[in-house]
Amino acid sequence: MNRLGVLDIAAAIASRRFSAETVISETFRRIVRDDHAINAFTAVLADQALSDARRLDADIAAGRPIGPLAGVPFAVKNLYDIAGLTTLAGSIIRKDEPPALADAPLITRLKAAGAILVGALNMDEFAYGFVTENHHYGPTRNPHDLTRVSGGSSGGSAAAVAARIVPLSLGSDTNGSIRVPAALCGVFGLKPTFGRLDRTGVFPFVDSLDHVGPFARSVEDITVAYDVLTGGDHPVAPTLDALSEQPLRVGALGGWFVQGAFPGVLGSLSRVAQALDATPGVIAPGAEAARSAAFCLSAYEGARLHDADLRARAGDYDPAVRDRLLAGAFLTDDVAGMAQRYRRIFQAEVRALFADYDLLLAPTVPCLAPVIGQPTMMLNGQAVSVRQTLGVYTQPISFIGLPVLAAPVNRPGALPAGVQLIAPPWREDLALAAGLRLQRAGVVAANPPESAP
Amino acid sequence: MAEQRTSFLDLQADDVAALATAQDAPIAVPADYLGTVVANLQGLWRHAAVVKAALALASDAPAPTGPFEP
Repeated sequence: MNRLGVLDIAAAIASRRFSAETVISETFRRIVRDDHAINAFTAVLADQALSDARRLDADIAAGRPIGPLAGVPFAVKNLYDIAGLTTLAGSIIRKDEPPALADAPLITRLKAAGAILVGALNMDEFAYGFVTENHHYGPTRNPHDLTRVSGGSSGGSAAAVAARIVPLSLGSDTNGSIRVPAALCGVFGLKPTFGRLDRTGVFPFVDSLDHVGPFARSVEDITVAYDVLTGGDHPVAPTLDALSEQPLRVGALGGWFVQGAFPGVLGSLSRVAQALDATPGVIAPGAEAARSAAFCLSAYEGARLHDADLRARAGDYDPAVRDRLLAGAFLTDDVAGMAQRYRRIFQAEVRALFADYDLLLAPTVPCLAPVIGQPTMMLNGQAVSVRQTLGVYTQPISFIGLPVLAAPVNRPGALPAGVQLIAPPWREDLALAAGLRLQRAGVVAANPPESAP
Repeated sequence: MAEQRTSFLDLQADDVAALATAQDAPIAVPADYLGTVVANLQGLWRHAAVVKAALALASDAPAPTGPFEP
């Protein structure tokens, strides 16, 4: 049963092949069996989820209408408000805050479609990281190799889907926090256009850059979840098949977006580029400065958000987060202004590329999953910080708010590598359609590890 | 958060380390983690310098007047 995806489970429950209670009970059996090794979950909601499942089963038995995600178990990064739980955002600083009074609206939408929330997921503290080596709650381990990181900051969200504990999860992405763990854990992650999905009830990091989005193991699954999350306006799923057959002009980003990439990553990128007949070596001028501006803006806004706690209790932060937030407190307002000004310049440069291409292609991360605790990696012949470098290809894209499907290249038995399918603003459908085409050609696929941890 | 007298953008690379312990520092950094905060501050200074140099090549670009629209 755990091999089933979102649409499989919804169909099986709607047709009474399984009861929702059976699916949710199996989910908790998986959590108990596997999560001690992976450490994706920080809270489980067994009583509530089983109660929701029984109610759904009663609705089905009574012939009442059910939603498109009926009985699908899902979990959320623990910066989403869950009614009755304190929203930790990966910290201990918030552990004594009162419980959330209501679910975040995106959770409400999934529940309204019949999905069943089973728990909250580990993350880098306050979403400031790319590794999910959380100082307080421990590292989330990569289901493909438990000695390696899951990526971050939505590491629990990616790992829980990759380990087939849940078929669907939610995360957030400020600089790459959906796309990086999706790549390292070998699942699909969708970072929609900046502003597309409601961030209400999601603990902020950088207001100027924060995005939210889903993880799943197939393009069809992530599309149906995305359609529910958008509230049903202009759903993508009904036209996805047809769109995936349409000609697509694809530009493979070169320059900054391939510098330092490991051979396994470049080989995977090449397979995708070939399948999409992409024009190679397309240059997005200013990507390095865009990444630098994203770094500055993140530190500046993050420091201001945490000003009171940094002054009162800096020692309670994860050291890796604390040091960067404290440094951000020294940035003057004109640094943020400069970053925002450069944002428009880079946006215009990339917009010009979309006159010639429907979609841009880039690797997601330069390497395969690093080992937990690994401080540095080699990039362009230099030893650089793992924690700060995993987002080297993702930061310029989220900086200008473009929608991206992070897709896992089909590498059964190997550590995952992923690509970014980058669409013009508000054209998530194009990224998803390209993903579907690649999936049907066997070029991208989630390959969850066969053996349990 | 108190305003600094000198813009971060006007600092020279060698000045950055002293910033964290300056009398008018915007926030006090405990000695236990002064070294790692300074290392991060130096990283941010390098990033800011990259952006500053890129902007210098586009000096006619207008300052944004409203919220960012993707």
